[in-house]
Amino acid sequence: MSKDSLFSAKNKKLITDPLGDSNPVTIQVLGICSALAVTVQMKNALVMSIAVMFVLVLGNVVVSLMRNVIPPRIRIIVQLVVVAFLVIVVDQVLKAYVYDVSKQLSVFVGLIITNCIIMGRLEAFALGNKPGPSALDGFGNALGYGFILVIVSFFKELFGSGKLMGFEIFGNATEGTGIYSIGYEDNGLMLLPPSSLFIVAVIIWVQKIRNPKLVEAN
Amino acid sequence: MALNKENNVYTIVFAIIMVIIVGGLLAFLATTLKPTQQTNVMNEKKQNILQATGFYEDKSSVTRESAGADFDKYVVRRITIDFEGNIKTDKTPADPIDGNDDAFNIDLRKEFSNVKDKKKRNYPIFVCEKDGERVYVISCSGKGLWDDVWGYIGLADDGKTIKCAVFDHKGETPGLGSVITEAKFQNGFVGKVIAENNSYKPIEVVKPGQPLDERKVEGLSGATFTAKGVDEMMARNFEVYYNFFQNNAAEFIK
Repeated sequence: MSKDSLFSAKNKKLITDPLGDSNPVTIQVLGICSALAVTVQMKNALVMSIAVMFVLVLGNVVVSLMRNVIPPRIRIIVQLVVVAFLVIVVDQVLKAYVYDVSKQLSVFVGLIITNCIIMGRLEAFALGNKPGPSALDGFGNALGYGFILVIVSFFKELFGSGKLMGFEIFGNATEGTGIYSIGYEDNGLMLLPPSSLFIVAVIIWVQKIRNPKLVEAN
Repeated sequence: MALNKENNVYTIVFAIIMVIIVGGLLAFLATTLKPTQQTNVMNEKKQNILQATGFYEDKSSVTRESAGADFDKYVVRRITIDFEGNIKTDKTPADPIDGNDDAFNIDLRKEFSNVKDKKKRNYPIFVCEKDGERVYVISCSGKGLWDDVWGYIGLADDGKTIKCAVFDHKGETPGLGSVITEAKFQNGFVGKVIAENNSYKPIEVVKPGQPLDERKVEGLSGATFTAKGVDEMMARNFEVYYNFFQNNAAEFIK
């Protein structure tokens, strides 16, 4: 590991793997709860992904820098403190500078602390690797998480409220313009958390068809 | 000499140092950002109040940024009234917004949750004027399906006709209950009257499709409980304001 340059083939896999065959949401099934909750609008999903990316990359780097001095017996507590600190920073900054978004995300920013992806990466990767690869690993996993969130929110916002990023795609439902004029109606279920599970399940299905190795043999 | 990381003393010292550093950083961050955050919250409230005046053709043209200046321009009096409808405090734009007795600082949601004796609750009312037109903005608060709902209502200078309504919520279902923040629902309240034959009568939010009159507003399909919450919230808040206008008719009703 020590002889690799930061962008060696091995390190590139740290970014590409979580996007595909080791995706934290669809393959490792981590971070599902926030994937269900903040995907009603694409804008929220994007902000959430950026927040998770910030916490995960910095958390990985900080823990990796401290990996040789952290007392093993309290390492989980140390990781938790690092994550909680970073999440509070995100929450406070959002409240001060992007107030509307912070209102919409409300408690879910705070819940980043409990996002299993973050603790999982700190424990599994950052504790045993140098800061550079740890940063890439955090970046890759956050991308993989954000990628799924954006796909899910794309379908939820489009079919749930006929919009994308807040722009009306299908016309205006209340005024009955666009395809609403021929009797189309938004699907209310798409706005509720269960629809995210359906979409995530379809993504997993597609992924496993494309790569049979992911199917558990039994 | 290598560090013995299993050592108890090392572990405890490490934990203490870490907590001090993190605590210090967070305290610094919180104090630096607090003024900005408070301004945001304050400006949002000003924005809601201004939107409820109906002075703007398009409610969304009132932004948080513009709200601060416009609030001082249009809100000429901030009055706190008690449960009976008597004036407790009365402030003008010249008075700084401070202290718990200022109508602006009354959080009706907290009044309802913290003050158990309903006769001791305070209610805010904002007298707004633009080009000689006067609007009273009153506040209301209640429960939706999941969490709090609240709103600001602009009353015309007869003290009973709704000129404009703005609602917001903490956690209603997106796309169903959250529709109360949309113009279509809010516009349904315009022109409704909170009195009948010179006595108080609450506004009713009825199921969609039912006949409407000057006190009935069309509700929401798929969000019965949120609509009910709005209905109940108006019923329990408006009487206080109605009494206020009756008590002070000479001064406030044109």
